Parts: sequence; C-alpha cells; structure tokens
Amino acid sequence: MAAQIQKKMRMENGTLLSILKAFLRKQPMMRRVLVSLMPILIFSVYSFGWRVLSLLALVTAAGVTTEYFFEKSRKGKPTDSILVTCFLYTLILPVTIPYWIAAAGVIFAVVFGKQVFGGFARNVFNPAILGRVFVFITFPAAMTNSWTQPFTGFPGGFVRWVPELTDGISSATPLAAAAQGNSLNSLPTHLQLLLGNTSGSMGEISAVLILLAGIYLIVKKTASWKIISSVLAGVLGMEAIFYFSGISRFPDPLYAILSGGVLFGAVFMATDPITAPSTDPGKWLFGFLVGIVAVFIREFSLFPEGMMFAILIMNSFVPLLDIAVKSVKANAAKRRVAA
Amino acid sequence: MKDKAWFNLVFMLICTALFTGILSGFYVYSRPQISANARLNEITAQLNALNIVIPAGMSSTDLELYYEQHIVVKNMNGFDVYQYETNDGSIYYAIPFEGAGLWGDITGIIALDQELKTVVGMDFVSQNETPGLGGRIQEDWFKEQFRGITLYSDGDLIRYAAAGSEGQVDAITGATATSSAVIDILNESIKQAKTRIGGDN
Amino acid sequence: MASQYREIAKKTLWSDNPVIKQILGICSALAVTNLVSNTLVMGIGVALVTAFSSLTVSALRNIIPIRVRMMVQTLIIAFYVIIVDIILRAYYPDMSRALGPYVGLIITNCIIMGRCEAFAQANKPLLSFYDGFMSGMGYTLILTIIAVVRELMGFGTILGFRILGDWWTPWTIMVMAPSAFFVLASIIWVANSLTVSKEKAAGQSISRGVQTSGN
Repeated sequence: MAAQIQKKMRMENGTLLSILKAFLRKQPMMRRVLVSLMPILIFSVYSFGWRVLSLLALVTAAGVTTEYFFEKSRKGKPTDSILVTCFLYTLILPVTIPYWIAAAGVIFAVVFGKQVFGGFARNVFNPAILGRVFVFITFPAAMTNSWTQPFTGFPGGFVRWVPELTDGISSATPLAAAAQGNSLNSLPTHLQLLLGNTSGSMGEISAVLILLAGIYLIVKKTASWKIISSVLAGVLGMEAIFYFSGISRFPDPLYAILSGGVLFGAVFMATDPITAPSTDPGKWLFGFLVGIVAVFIREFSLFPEGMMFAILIMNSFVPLLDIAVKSVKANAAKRRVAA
Repeated sequence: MKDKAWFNLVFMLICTALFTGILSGFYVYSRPQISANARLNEITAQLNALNIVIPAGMSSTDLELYYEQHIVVKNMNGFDVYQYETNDGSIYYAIPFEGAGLWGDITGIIALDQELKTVVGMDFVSQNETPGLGGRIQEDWFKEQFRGITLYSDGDLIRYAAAGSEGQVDAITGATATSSAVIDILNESIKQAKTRIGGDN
Repeated sequence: MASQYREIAKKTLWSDNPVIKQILGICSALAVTNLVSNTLVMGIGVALVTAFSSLTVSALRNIIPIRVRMMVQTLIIAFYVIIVDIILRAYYPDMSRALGPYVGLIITNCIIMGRCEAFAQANKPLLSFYDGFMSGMGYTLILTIIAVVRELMGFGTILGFRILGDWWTPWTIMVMAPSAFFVLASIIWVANSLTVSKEKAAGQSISRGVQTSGN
C-alpha cells in the first residue's frame, strides 16, 4: 500500500508534470499559483490522508484529457491554467467524495465552464467553482453528508489513506454548525480554524497556509491585493453590521472570515485574472460585492456557504463593471476637455 | 372598406366579444368541476391528517357527505379549526398551515389532539418543491412519520433526528432546505394554534 | 399535394425544427422537461393550440384586416390556451398541478404566433392545421429527447418506470431547470454539426441563416 502511494506521489511530482510540460502552453502566472498551492496540498495530505493525492491525480487526468480533446479540434494546446483549475477544484471538495463524482465535476467544468466559451481566457465563470457548484447541486448527498474530522498529531494523515466516516454520520463543518445554530461550545475555536484543525474541504481548512499563499502571490504580483483585501473587507463589513444588529449566525465577524471558503475564495478564486475585472475601480467594486453577496447568502439563504455562489454571480457582472468604469472615465475626460 | 379605421375597430370588438363569449360559457360550464377538484384535495388532506380512513371508490359527493359526518368547522378566536369528535368523545383538531418552502408556498393540514400535545398526522394541500427532491415531502413515508409523535414541551416542538441529537422524524436526504422549511412551518403554526385554541395550554 | 405534406413534416421535425433550428419555445423547454409525462402533455397541448390557432387564423385570413391581424392572432391563441388550461384543471387536476403556471404560458410560446404569421396567413385552413400540428410535434420531439435524458439521469426512470437500478446515483441538477440548458445546448450542437457537415459534403456554402430567439 505504502509503496503504491509513494509511487503515485512520485508520479504526481516528477514524471507526470514533466510529461505535461511537453504539451502544455507555459504560463508563468499559473505556475506560481501552483507553487503557492503546494504547502496547502501537503497540509491537506497530512489532514486527510493520501486519498487527497489520488483524487488530484484523477481530476487532473480527466481535466487535461477533456481540455486536450477540445483544444485539438481547434488546433490549440492545453494551457497551464487547466492544471490550476484541476488543483483548485480538487482542493474545494470533501476528501470522501467518490472518484467518479470528482471526475464528472471537472469534465463538466472544462466543457461547460471553459470550452463552450472558446477556451482559455474567454470563459466568463471561474471553471473550478463552476465544477464545485455543479457537483454540489447534482450530488447533494455526497457533498453534505461526507465531512470528516482531520487527522491530528504526528504522523497524521501521512500514514493513512482517508479518514473514516463513522456510520455515515458526518461531522458538520463549522459553517453548517453555525447555520444550524449549534451552541457556541460545539463550534471549533478561532485557533482551530486558523491552524486547520477542523472538518471542511481538502484545501480550505487552514487559514494560516491560505494567507501565506496569498502573501506569496501578492508579492509575486500574481494575485491582485486589491481584490483579496476588498473581498475580505466586504465580508468583514457586512458581517459586522449583522453582528451588531444581533442577527448574525457567527460568534463574531472574524470567525466568519476564518470559517468556510471565504479566504480560499478570496485568494485563489476571486483573483482569477480572466474572470475578474481589469480596471482598478472595477476590482475594488467586484471584491466588495463578492464579500457582501457571500454574507447575504450565508446569513439568509438555506445554503451554509455563499462564497462560491457570490463569486459566480459577480463573475457575470465583470464585463459590465469594466465597461462602466471605462465609460465613466471617458465621460470625465470629455468633461475635462470641454471645461 | 377593409382599410378603414372603423372597420378595424368593429372587427376587433366583434372578435373579442365572440371569443370571450365562448370562453366564458365554457368556463362557467366546467367551473363546478374545477372547484370540486380543489375542494376534494382540501378535504382529502384533512381526513388524511386526522387519520380517518377514506373508503375506496367514493364519488366526490359521497366524500363530501362522509366529510361532513366527521368534521365540524369551529371558529376559535377568529381562526378556523376543523374539529373531529370520535364516538368515545375524544376531540381532535385539524389546523391549516402555510409558509414559504424553497421555491414557493407550502400549504397543508396538521392534526393535533385536544391537549395539543401529540400530532395525529399531517398532509399537504399544495407545494412546489423540486420534484424528486424536496417534492418527496409529498410521499407517504415522510408524512406517516408524523403520526402519533409527542411534541417537545419547549424549544422546537418537532425536531429532526440528526447525528447525535434526538428527534421524532427523519429529514429527506439531500433536501435539507425543504425539510427544514417544513419543520419550521409546522412548529410555527402549532405554536400559533396553541395561543389561539388553548389559551390555558 | 402529398409531397407538400411530406415537405412540411420533414421541415418541422428536423431541417427547420422550431426548437433546435429556430430556437423558439425555449422557456417551456426548460420548465417542463424534468419528467417525460409532463413533457408529453405539454407537447400535445402546444401541438393542439398551434394546430387550431393556425386553422382559425387561416379560415379568417381573408377577412382579418391586415393592421390588426397580430391582435386577432393573439386573441385566438389566448382563447385556445385558456381552453386547454380549463380542460386540464377540470378533468386532469393532477397534471394541471404538475404543469403549474406553464400551461398558461403556452401563450408566450413563439412557435404558435410564428406559424400563424408565417404560414397560416398565406395558406389554406387544412394545410395550416397540419403545419401547426406538425410544428407542435417537432417541438414535442425535441422536448421529449431532453426529458428522457433528464428523467433518466435525474430519477433513473422513464415515464415513472425504473430503468436504472439502485447503483445509479440520481443527478439532482437534471431535475432542476438549468440542466435543460445544457441538454438542449448539446442537442443543438449535435444537430448543427450534423447538418453543417452534410452541407459541406454537398459542396454548398454554409449558411446557418439568421436565428431568431424568443420564448
């Protein structure tokens, strides 16, 4: 078993990538995103066992094959962005998800989220989130009853395959627990959320690692700090308003940021250069609105998490935001000339 | 003549009068059938909720008579309640409920005992939940779960049995939203019924 | 004469199909196609309304003033739609509840108005009736294909009979309206690539024509 896993691991990091390099269009920005995801991936294996990597391998294989098939027909080459999509998509799934569901989700994401729009750089929606939402809506049972507590201590998940689901009873994620109004002492603490000692999707549980990745991406000018900070400000501000009016589900606004997919979404999803606005005012507005919409969905809808819906909803307004910003600027310039 | 404005007008008027006339006639002709269907739906739900067995093969007029033999409408503090008295004198109430589901309003009937402490049963009159998911609340296994359950005395009167907590009924897997909407509506209307019917409870 | 009928059948069912070629009637294609039984009733409803509306419009075509013809057509269509609605509510209450507001929305189905305006205005009543009915059948055909895919994947059944066993995990999204977008889009994709390659083979220039969209 262990040998098999090691082989898979080597495949993933060595051979597979070098094979992929041979026929993938290189995109340095996307490479940096992959680098920033590595610590999160390793922590994910520590928390949830080696099944994480087997899922990632399958998703990547399915995603790249689908992309290759479509790109071939229009005589293009798959790009590195497909790897980013596959990594991000895998990391926002629960570890216990059946393999075929994970594969169906990524194929859907590539075909209907990316290729029907004309492939790389033409897609309106973030494909990784689209795949996640598709899986979430299509197989609700697999996505809501399969959360497990992570492994802790040494060697944690490094010697295990996958956490056991005890009698199919799922352990509620912090978000689901908050949505059901569980008493505060059954919720994980801030520290647990920060370190990642809680149930959740494979890559979203450790706030510290996501923040570190975010800082790395900002320093390397890969992710827009404007979008990240405005999303977080939007969530914090809206959550603070609800908190002080006494209708919030969360113990405090900071808790709302640390739990669920807010950080992961803000750092990796909202900043996707293709589906985010290109103008600066557009970025600020986009970020704030993502945060605000996410909070509204979390607090008032029947879904515990609003981040993925918020990003998709705002994705569809991106062209409008950019056009609005440009026309406002053009009008202002015209007025200056006239004056 | 056909180009004249007055002809257009007169033609439209005649057409409208003709078609709406036929339509009204047809509507009046089938209206009794339509309202009978709605009524049938309503009283079947009440009888089901009260656990009164409907003999098979009843025509709608027979069913109406059957219904009137069993149930009287009582107005309690401006609130219609359908009361059923058994031969041994015990009294049960059927109470209409209404509230927002996931896609639209859910309406139905819940029947309680006189003390308002146990549920006799419940049935839905209308719902627009997703077929095959939330729409499964209409299935018998879900509705039958409510028969004879004892209400909790504080907090939520009816609860779903979830991992690690006790409850009286099971939710529908994969349709959390509809399931919790149903239970919220039921709890809310039982609480209202308690204040309206039995002020002393 | 017979060839005229055959031509209409070929056009409405495939080469000029109202749903996949003219992109008409999409609204109801999304709404009612999660169960095959609902789809068939809706399809028959649309076919009958289209057929009788076309018949009536064609019979009155020589006396309807040209300026108010659209109003008269709308009136005639509304008349038949309400009749279908009343029949369903009175005699098929279960079906009426399942189809909900969509029966009333048959009136917004562009296929009906399209056939009245494009065909019935200029043709004899019987032929118009046939054209309207066949257009409704073309609509039903495509919707039934969508419904078979959706019911099979969403419930594992067709017309309520279990086809796929317990091993099948139902795809919830197939039960919800958005999936009709994907399924319909895929059908149009397949149909277009079939006709385009045929046109290429015949050495003709590829003209897709102007596609009108509507409800």
